[in-house]
Amino acid sequence: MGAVSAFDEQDGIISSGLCGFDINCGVNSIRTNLTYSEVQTKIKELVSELFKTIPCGVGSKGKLKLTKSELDEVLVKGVNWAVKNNYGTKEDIKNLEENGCMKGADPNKISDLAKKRGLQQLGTLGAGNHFLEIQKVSDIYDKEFSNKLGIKDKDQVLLMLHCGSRGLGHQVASDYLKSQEKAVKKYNIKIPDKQLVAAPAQSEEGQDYFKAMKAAVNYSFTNRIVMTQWIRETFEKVFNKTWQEMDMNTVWGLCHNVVKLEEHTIENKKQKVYVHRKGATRAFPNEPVIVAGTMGTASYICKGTKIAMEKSFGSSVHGAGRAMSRTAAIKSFRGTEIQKDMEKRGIIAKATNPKVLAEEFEKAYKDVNEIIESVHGAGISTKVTKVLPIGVLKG
Amino acid sequence: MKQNLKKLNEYEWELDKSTRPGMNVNAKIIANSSILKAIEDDAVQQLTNVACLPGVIEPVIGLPDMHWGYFNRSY
Repeated sequence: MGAVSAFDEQDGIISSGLCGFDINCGVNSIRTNLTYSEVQTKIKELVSELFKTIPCGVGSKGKLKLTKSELDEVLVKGVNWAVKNNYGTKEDIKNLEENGCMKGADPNKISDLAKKRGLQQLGTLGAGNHFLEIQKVSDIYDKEFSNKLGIKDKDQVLLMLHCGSRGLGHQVASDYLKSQEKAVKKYNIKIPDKQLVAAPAQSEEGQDYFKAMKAAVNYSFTNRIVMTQWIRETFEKVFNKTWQEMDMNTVWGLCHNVVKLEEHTIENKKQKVYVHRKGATRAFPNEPVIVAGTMGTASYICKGTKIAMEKSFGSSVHGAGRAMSRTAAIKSFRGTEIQKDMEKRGIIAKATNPKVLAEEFEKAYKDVNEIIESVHGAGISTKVTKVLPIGVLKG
Repeated sequence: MKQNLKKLNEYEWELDKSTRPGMNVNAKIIANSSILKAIEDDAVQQLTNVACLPGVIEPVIGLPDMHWGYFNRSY
């Protein structure tokens, strides 16, 4: 959706509809110290090795088989579970929104069906707009901040991993859409649209959803870090160096679809509010904001600002935003042709189904450059680095 | 709905709560004029739906990547 709304902690609502199906769909940026010329010679091998390592596609199952108690630990502890099990490092934890774990998650608020789906899918990319992209730095606008993030030179190679909480998050959303549909009637909440179901913030239905959503958020943070570790191992294999030698650390990782209890200054008073970011990122002052472009086009790293705190509840954009529906895109474009055209432009793309390439074709989206000009102009986040894709993996 | 947007500056547009019955607060869209053209009227309508929810704090924000649909189909 691309929207931010905040609701009073006491008198407001919590809406599962306003968080959506892919809870903590989000993006991690990972850096390397490799240059474009070093990677370009091996790009085909790299993309195909990554494709073997990262399970892609709608119902893809992972290589990781969790026990029920391990899953509960993932849901409560998020990335701390991953690091304990040698996926990612303490350094990764520092570079994630919420340090990769929202406190107060409760696995008991998640249905058995959601857990069943979660057991098999940790460490999987999924389909749709999810992707893993290999990128090269094309422009650096804010040298000081970019250096701080370890992004120092043009042509430096970065990675971007965009995915979410998979079937588990989807099931949590479906379960609570039903429960909040009932809550709308029970508490006589006036909603202008059936899809915008909600429950009073302090009601059982509201708080149960919040606890379940946090668990799905933690699953998703963990999902991205597990895959990050596999990406590192693939690079080790292809480039014959350790990932530490290649400086493959997390630049920053954040959520796109989430509800957070935050304190904001409203009419000169501090107030606790439930901020709903639906297709939006957090953009607190001096915090990185990763804006994932469309397949085949630029992505940006920006910086959050004080103005964002004043104007947009500390939030900014998450991507390009569709300009055409998925169905219309499939009718208008052919996946195999897009793939060939991208290769001509120096981008190697691989997908489990070529239809996905048509669905996600850049012409089905708004121009990301104009989007960045808009947020930069409004001051809610400022441009730091621009990257261009050289390799794309889609579900 | 879009015709009711009031330009605040080059990058911010406001939709007054009087535009539609039920809106509790104003809505604001952050976009330059070229992006604003690409935003569907339905998406703006959806933003006003959010502004109707109880306890909502002014304003509800539409970002320049806003598009129609509450839900992301991929999972």
